[in-house]
Amino acid sequence: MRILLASPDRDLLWCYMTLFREKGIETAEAFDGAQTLAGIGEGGVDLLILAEDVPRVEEKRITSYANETGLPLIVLCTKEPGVRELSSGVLANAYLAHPFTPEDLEKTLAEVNEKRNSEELIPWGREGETVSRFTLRGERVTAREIGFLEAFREGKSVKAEDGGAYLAALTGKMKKTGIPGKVRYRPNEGFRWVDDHEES
Amino acid sequence: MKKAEKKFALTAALALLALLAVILGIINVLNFTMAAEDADRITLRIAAGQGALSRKGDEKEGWRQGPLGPVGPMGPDSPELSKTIRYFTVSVSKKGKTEVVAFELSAVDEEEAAAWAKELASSGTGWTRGTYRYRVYEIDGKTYVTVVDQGRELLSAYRILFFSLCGTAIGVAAGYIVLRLTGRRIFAPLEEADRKQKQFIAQAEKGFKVPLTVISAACEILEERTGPSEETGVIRRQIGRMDAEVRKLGTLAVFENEKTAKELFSLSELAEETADRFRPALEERGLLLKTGIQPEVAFRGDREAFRGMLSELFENAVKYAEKEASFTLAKEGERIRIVAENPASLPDGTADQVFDRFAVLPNAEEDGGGLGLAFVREVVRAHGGRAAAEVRDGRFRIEINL
Repeated sequence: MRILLASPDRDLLWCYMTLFREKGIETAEAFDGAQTLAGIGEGGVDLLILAEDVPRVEEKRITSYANETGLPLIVLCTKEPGVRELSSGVLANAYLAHPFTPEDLEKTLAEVNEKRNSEELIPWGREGETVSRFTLRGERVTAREIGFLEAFREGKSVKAEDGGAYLAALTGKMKKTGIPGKVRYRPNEGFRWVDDHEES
Repeated sequence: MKKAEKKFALTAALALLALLAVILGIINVLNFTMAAEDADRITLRIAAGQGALSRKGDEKEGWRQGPLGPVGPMGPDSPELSKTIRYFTVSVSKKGKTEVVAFELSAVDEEEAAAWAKELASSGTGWTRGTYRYRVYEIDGKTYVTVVDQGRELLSAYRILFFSLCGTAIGVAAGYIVLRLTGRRIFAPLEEADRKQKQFIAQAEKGFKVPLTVISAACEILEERTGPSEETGVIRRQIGRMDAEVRKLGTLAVFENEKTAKELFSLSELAEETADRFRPALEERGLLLKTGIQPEVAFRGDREAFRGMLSELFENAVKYAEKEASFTLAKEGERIRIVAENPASLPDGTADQVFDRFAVLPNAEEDGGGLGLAFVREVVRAHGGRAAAEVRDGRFRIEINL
């Protein structure tokens, strides 16, 4: 696997490139948006980790390009992911808020990788919308949200500590895309998706 | 800040209303009282004339020398009164027989006047039929009733009352509008100070978060190369501490500037989980924690913010409590009440200043940065609730109502 790390913070790049190398993961670095776009263009990159404050080129342009090329993307942000998703919409496969530990990044990477390699159909998705495409009826969703969709489809509950603010963004998307039903909360159980007919 | 501007304008307008109501109220009460007194002096003068006003008077009686020449008596003492006043006097015998003594009124005829006087014969003095002042008195064993028209005098008093009310309404409304329009200028320095504080918080939040990530990663590399050590343990603990402070800063900024995601969650479960997390720290300090958490209390709000808020309440207890701390959560009808209380060596009184950013209580053993309770207040406010703090009988108490 080859990861492109893009951040203007050289110390951040050095630390994570060192950690990835020690785990046997190949890395490339980019200090600004232009280098990031060039790195994606060169090819051979399996995943992009992008700091939201990367200079010279707007984050949106880079994320759009990554999406066009089907490159999985993790954005490092300073706002909590749920707030980011609510305020600017989802353009990445995952958002990770500073400060995070190497374990947090590892967990997010695992989540994204698991989904990008899955050819299963995304729950409630249109024909051909597999999990690896990270879209739900045309709406972009993150790896975490796909996890929630899978749990809901299986009739499982999502614990509050695992759900939280991210569910607000997801339920908004589900409503927007016309998926019938609602999220229901039960104490000691958590959040569950309830179809309209089940509710009535 | 806009809310504060509106509140200021409203409060000032209400204060102006109260002031004008008192001043103009006193003026109008005095005006009406003096009108009644003048009317009483007239009826006394008529009574002194055995029920009638003498048409012949000493024109010079009551005149005095003023700075611009002689000044004649005014009002009830005026010698012109006998020609201008409208009145009647009727005597009423014990058997109810009436006799008109003097009649100078146009509104009623003598018969009606006699009946009117009979109605009033048992009272002393007062107003009758709106604008007429009457007096009942005895001369040589006979009861006399004098009724005097004070319509013109009262019209003047009512006009003053009307203009007082209109003036008050216009004055208060104009005052409110002026304050709303000029409020921005008045509040500009406060707004600027508030904006700078928020900007500082947002900058500090960003400025600290990324370095914490880097330090955490560098610590991980160090541990992988040389193994965990006391030093890396210290680094990790301090990262955790800074992380907590920075998160508080960030959440404060988020609540003030952006929308937060709300969800339905069990507040009881969250409170129990938080209490359990802090119990060891409290026990380590020799503090007894008493909890009374009503089960199955659900709430719609920002779960993570509430987790932080509850943590702050318990952390506050760890830092400042003496001997013991208590925490209760209960649903009372539609409201939820949370009370965190502990003994503290502080003077009695309200302690709402603890909710100000960067405020630290005088009994603090360590500098906590002063953001914890500011964060509690912002979370509560963002969810439409109220937080209050007080010290009573040596106990520090924070009460939150949602």
